[in-house]
Amino acid sequence: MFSSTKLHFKMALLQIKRRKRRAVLIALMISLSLVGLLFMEGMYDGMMVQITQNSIKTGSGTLSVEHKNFRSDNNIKYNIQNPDNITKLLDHKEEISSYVLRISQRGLIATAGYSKGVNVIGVDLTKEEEHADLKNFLTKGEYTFDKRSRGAIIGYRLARKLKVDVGKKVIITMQDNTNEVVSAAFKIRAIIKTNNMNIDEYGLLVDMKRLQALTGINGVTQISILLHKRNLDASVLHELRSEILDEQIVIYSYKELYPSLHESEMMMQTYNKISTIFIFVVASLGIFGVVMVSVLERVREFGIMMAIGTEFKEIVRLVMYESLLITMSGYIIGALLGGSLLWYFKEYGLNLSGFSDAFAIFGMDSNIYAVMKEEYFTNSFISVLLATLVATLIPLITLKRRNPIKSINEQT
Amino acid sequence: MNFLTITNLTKIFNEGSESQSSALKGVSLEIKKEEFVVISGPSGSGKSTLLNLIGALDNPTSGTVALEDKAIHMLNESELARFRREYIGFVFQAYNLIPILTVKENIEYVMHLLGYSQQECDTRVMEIAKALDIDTYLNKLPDHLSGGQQQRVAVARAVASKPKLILADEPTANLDTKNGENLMELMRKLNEEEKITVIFSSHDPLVIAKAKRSIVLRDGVVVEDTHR
Repeated sequence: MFSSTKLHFKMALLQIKRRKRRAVLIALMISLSLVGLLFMEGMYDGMMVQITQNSIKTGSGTLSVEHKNFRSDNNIKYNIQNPDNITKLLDHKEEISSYVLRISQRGLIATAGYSKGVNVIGVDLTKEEEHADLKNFLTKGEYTFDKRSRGAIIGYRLARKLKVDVGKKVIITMQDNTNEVVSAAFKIRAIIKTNNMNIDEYGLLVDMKRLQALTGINGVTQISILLHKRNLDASVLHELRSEILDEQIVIYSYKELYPSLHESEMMMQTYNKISTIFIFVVASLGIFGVVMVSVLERVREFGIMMAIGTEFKEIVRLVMYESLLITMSGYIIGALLGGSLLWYFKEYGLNLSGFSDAFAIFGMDSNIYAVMKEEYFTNSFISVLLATLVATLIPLITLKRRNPIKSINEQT
Repeated sequence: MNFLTITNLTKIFNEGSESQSSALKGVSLEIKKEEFVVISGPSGSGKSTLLNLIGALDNPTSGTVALEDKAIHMLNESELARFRREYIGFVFQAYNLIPILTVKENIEYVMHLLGYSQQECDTRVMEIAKALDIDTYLNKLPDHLSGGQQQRVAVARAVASKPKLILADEPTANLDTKNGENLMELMRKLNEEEKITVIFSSHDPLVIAKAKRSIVLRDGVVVEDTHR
């Protein structure tokens, strides 16, 4: 049994050698399709990760704790008055990697020549450095609000529209918690580009304590929570909802706050599945064509083999070996090339700085880093394997119908 | 006990259609072990059809073929394949060697199917190759050999696994007189030394004369059965 298996395997290799060009062509087709598929999957997932990470880190967090009316009314009087009660709970949750307190109040920003609507965000720069990696988003200036908290960090698109630069002064006008209008001057200490439009286009980051003093509140409007694993959001959300009993407080998952982001993620997953199916179809058609020709031109040869005692199942095995040897070579080459390409773009990123502004609108950096997941390789492997089996089956059924032994009878 | 018993064997091609033709019409034969039999007759007399039915390469319309009391046409496809590999060695008129395998691999092919080890195959191949004078081109591909050489390889493949029966359909048809005679001598030697029953077809009088028993077919009917 082993002896004949070894012989049939050798025959499969010899047959491939006999039709070298054909085999190389199909292996090349599979490997190139695979390289394209892996590249697209990795880059698209990389883009989605960037968009999601940027929005989550600098915006909502994986989970966002807020006053129940704040999101609909945006009035600062709807704040979390005793955030300590909540942060004590958060300190004991292992799934949480970090959290920060923030205040957000809409107002008007003005320079000597221009004015514009602004979202003033009160933050603790030290904590944000660890939580949102804010320091790395600076494009100009220093990561500081000054000793007397008179400094501010401005979004790069807002700065461009107001024509302000580092060192310039801006005047903020907004309502306090009693709906009285208050104003304050801030000196721009840095310009930031986060690819979160809420900050880049409308954001002015100021010291949280100064904003509390200006608006007359002691609380915060948001507690932004980051989890170690994003997919734990539902379970942690459920726990927190059962533990925070204050009816004025609501907790959102990023999926609720950015439904379009979540939909995009789902869309990307569907896209990846469609791409895998596409590869499956392309591979199937290619393999089918090659195996069909290869089998039909050897009906007599198979007839001889069957006449001298080879069972049809052994012929099936021989043809399967041939197909698998070709397609798996294509898969291995494709996986190695595609994997190397993905590794490169995972490490060094794909620099598209020429399209920086356009990408920023979608929340992406100009340097896109690929993602490399094991499932890319396993899914495509299963896909190529299935394609091989399906595409080889039809020629084998055709061969069986032709009755190879009859073909030898006709000639003897 | 008869080695091979053929009872009332009939084969009709394209049955029920306008082109229907009867290749065999109730042939009955009994062949003993170690016989050296030639089936002769003019073209279209049913020689090849009879050999194909004995070798289970085709199914009869009616009648039976029993080898050592085993009714071969009752076997399913897998059993038939195993039957062919264990009992029968075929020598075809057109040699029918496997083109991608070397001479050596062609000879040992059936032995591999039967589960012989590589060492057993090597020993047996050398033994037969020397006997058939093909040991100098064991590593060549069949395409690189002459007709006579290919036919000797086909004989080597047929006897390598020591089958009980060799069926040879016009084995000398594509050979010149000298090579044809050599081949017949060789088959006769195998019949005597290896105790293999040999049935072959031919319409060449020189070849027919070498057989110990001659069966003549005409229009699908046995018209003569002579023991010499």
